[in-house]
Amino acid sequence: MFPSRLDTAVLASLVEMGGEELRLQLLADLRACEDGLKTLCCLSPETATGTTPQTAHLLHTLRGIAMTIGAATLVQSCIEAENLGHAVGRAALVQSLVAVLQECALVRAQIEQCPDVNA
Amino acid sequence: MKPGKAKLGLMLVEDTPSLQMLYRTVLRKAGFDPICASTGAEAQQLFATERPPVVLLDLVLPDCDGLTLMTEMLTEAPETRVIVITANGSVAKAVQATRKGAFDFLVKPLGDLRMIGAVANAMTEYQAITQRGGKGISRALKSRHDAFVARSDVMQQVNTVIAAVARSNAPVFIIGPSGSGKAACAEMIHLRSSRATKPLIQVDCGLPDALALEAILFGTGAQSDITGQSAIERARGGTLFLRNPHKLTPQLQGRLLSVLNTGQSGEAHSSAAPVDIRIISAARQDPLDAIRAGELEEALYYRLFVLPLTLPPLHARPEDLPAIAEQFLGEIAQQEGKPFRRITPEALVLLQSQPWEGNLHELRNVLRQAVVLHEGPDLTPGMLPLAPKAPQLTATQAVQAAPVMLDLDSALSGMTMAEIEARAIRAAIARNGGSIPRAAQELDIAPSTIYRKRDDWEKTTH
Repeated sequence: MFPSRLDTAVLASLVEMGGEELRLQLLADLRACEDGLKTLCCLSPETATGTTPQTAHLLHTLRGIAMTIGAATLVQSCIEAENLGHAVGRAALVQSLVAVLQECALVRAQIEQCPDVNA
Repeated sequence: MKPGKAKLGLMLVEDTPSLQMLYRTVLRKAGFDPICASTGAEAQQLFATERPPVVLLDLVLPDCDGLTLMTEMLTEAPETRVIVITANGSVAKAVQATRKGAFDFLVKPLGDLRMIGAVANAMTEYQAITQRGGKGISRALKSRHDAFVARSDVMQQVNTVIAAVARSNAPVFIIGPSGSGKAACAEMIHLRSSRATKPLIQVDCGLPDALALEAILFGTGAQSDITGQSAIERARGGTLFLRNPHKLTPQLQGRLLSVLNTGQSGEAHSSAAPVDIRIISAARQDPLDAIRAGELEEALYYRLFVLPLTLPPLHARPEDLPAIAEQFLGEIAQQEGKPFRRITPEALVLLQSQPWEGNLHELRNVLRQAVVLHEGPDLTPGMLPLAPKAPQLTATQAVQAAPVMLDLDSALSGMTMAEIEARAIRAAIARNGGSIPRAAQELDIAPSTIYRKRDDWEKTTH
């Protein structure tokens, strides 16, 4: 049994309020953030050193979603990556973003397993 | 759906689709019907066409800075109530937004009730502002404005801050020397806020009697029967102005913090509804000094010191003095029934040369003394109980004028105590340009003592 990656009670109440439409939108937003961060990780070293405004915005968005669904570990990963700042080297940045991506994937998997309230 | 709420427009600016969907759902269930924007550009366009009275604004947007967008909205429509949304960890930015005129701020994750409450409050405030048109408030505000003359740059900046913080609900902390106008400043903020029709209740936390203070502030304790309803209850819907909050006992500071945290006044007969008050505090010193001295609880500091406002001493804004003095003279002359009409240029020069350590209070006292003792219509230098400014000396003159150090015992030998006293007093009067009140101040005795002694010397010499 893996520990929960988010607050299941919070997620349940959100889905109850916003329905399946909200659950699917949460998944879509998480996926969009993941895709954006993966793209940034794959950029050439010359174009991606330090936390760029684009990285910062993606991390901020992801943190906002994570806070809303009670995904505490993902919140923490985002904060750590956001705090790296502009001067950090590429290796440290990618390492931090990978940690965010791994946690985000776990959170998304758990939301995908959440029962459809309309079903 | 509650149609009353939906009549007023609400704009939600949030770029994350799932969060926008969630907030919109919560707001709709509460009876609001927001128009939504996902980018700064979209928000600008909607704001221009729809002019929503209340805006829920995420501070981080993909195409622009939320603070800049908020400033633009408030410039175009100052009555707009903007509630900013920020992620936890970015609270400093939210506080910055509040200082720039945001009505309130919400921290993600947004609690449903907190969001709905903030929007409802903003709508109520907007309605109060746009509908009140109260002549009494306008008159009171004008009077306060007049008392807050701002020709100097420093005071114009203060007035800008006052206008910004008046739009907010967040606590204000005014720091300024004695007599610099802290109470007038608090009143201006209150009168310019949407709470202007509700009470402004002032409590001096420096009262030495802690039991009386407890009764006044909280309506509880041994003396509560004497004071009646607490200041907190009386300020419901309005503003509570706390002077010197660091002087509250640790126990009363804890109770005040509890009221601020829970919204419950703690008074036995109070309503169960949360207390809706805006707190304005004031002190002479930076409250951080009070924390260092162990006088102020740090937790209370953070609840009170959200929007700081510093008032300059009078000597730092000499450009404002003529207008302030003219206004005080008019008020005092009317109160005293004297026909004073103007201050002569020479008298103004004398007024502007003073250090005014007691600031506005001292200026008012000096003018009152002149008005009471003279008839006018012009206020001349001779009527002012002030010393003329000493002329600037050249370096050579300064050396020549430097006091010659004497052996005091030798100098006073052979003199009686009365002679020593008379000599000290006469020297003080001379040093103060003939002003007995100032000489008395320097010697730390009452002016009447000098007058009495002077009469005695005259009797002795005749």
